[in-house]
Amino acid sequence: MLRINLLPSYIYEKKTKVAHVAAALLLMLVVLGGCLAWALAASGTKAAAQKRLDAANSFQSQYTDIDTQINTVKTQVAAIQAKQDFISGSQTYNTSWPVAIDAVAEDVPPYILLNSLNVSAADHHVVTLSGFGQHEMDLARWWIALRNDTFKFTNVFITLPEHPYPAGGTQAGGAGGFGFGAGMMGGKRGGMMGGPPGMMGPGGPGMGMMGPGGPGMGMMGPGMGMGGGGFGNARNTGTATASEVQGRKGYDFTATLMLVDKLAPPTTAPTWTGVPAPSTAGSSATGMGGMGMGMMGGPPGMMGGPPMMGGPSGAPGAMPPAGGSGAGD
Amino acid sequence: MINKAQKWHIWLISGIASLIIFLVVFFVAIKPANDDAASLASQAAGIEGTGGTQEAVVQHQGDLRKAKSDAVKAKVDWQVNSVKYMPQLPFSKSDKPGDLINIYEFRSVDGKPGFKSVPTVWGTWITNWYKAQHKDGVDLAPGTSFPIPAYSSDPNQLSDISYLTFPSAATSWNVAVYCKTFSDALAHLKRFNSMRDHGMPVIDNISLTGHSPDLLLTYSLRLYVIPGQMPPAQDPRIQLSSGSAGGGRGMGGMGMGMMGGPPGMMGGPPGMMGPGGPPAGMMGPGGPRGKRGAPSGAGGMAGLK
Repeated sequence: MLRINLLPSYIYEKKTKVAHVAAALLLMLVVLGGCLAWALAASGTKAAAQKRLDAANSFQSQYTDIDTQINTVKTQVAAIQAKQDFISGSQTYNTSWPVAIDAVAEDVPPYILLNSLNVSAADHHVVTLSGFGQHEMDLARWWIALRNDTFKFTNVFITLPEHPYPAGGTQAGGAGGFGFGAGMMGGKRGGMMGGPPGMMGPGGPGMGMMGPGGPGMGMMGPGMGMGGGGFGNARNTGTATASEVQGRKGYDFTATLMLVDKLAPPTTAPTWTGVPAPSTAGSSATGMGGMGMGMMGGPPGMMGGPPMMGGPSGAPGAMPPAGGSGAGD
Repeated sequence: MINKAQKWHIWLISGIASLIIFLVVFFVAIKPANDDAASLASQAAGIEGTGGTQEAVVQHQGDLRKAKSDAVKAKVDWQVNSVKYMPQLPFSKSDKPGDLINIYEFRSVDGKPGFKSVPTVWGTWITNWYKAQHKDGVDLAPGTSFPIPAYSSDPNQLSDISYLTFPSAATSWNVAVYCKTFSDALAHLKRFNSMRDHGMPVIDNISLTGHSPDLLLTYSLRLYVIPGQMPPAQDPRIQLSSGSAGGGRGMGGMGMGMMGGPPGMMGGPPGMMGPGGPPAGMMGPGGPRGKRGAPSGAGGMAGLK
């Protein structure tokens, strides 16, 4: 049997329209609810951010308070701290000199006779040595040894003799059997800087020539040895010159070594300039006058005779131990 | 009217209404809240970066503890070092401006009368300090001395002292000593930090020349004295005039130093560099040194600050 709907269509459409209206309203409610939920979440995020900001402000306030306390403590102790820093810096500075010199001296072999040792006043890294070696190969051997001692030195240069052709008269004779044994400076390590010349080593006549002094030394005022510091472009220049010590032929050489940081003294000598204090106009003007005086006094003296001018120029054996001509007279 | 509306009319109206609801809620509530939250978070992050966190506070509390302990250590260290290095100058807490003449003229400094004796006391002491090292193989080179400029004879200028530098504020002693051995020279250099009661020594520009037993060690030396007690203020009753008088004296000192310096520095002990010299076999200790030049910066108030 066939079922036939004889009701008019608007009756059916009315029923379905109500359902559609309900669904559409539901949709709007869902959208509204979603939006409200999102708004609530955003509000929660904002509240959390506000809370975080409040906490940060609180912590920062504490931090600032602590900072103020730290600054107060530091301010209270600043004057004493500066004094103590000066003392400890001075102690370190004073101690560093023998350390640096000792580091170099340890590496001077018995067959090298040192005449001078200067630590550069400019940077305290460059050590300038002058001395005498009997054989060119001794100098080369020593150079290699110094170069390989990377724990102490970063740059090493030693002057060597030139070898022109035809050979000039500058070659040392190379007399054998000569051993300084003692070397220059006084017997600390294995005779490296050994005892008085003439006492050490088998060298015979002429050892007395190692005595210091001689005319013209007066030119070398204290501080003159500071000149050998520069480690610039000119470091790989110069040659060892033929020389003779105690009747033995050899070479006068110069050497420059650059100390590693841990061995070099701090670059700047510590000074104390006091803590600024309130003073009257008259008294402060007086103080300035005093300072200016000394500042101008010193430097010109530094320009005095070039380093090492005195010694080598004295003719060995020819000069009696007579007076030097001090320029400062 | 609804009876006439088609289904698509219903959904269209619903969709538009939903969209309007979304837009209104979004722009009225959601977006401002999100913007505010982002702004607050940004501010918080900035503050957190500058100590606004608990970790930073805890760490800074550690810094505070360290600062306090450093301060205590500095005080203790300074106390120890000031006792070790710094002398008792003739100043006391109870001094008044009226005491300046007494301090300058009469109050004892190491048994000598008055602050005026300070150059003599220090010069004598440092000379003796060197002489005492003769037994350690160290002797002053002939010509080496320790000149110290006199202080101003105006007691009021004592008030300007906050520290003393010997020999003066901008010069140092150029010292030359003969050492018997290399070890003696090193020991001598190491001895400076054990000086007592006469200021903190600072040595510089070390140079070693010659051979044992006449190894010549040269260097510059300064002594810094930081008084524990400052002098009293100026006494207006012994002041010629205010301000300008002091300035005039200061300028005078400056002029003196400029002229005084060069000769002193040029001199110095000769014989430093002497590997040449005596005849073979003579072993002479070297010739007499040239005369030392006039002390640089002599006179005036160079060391006074």
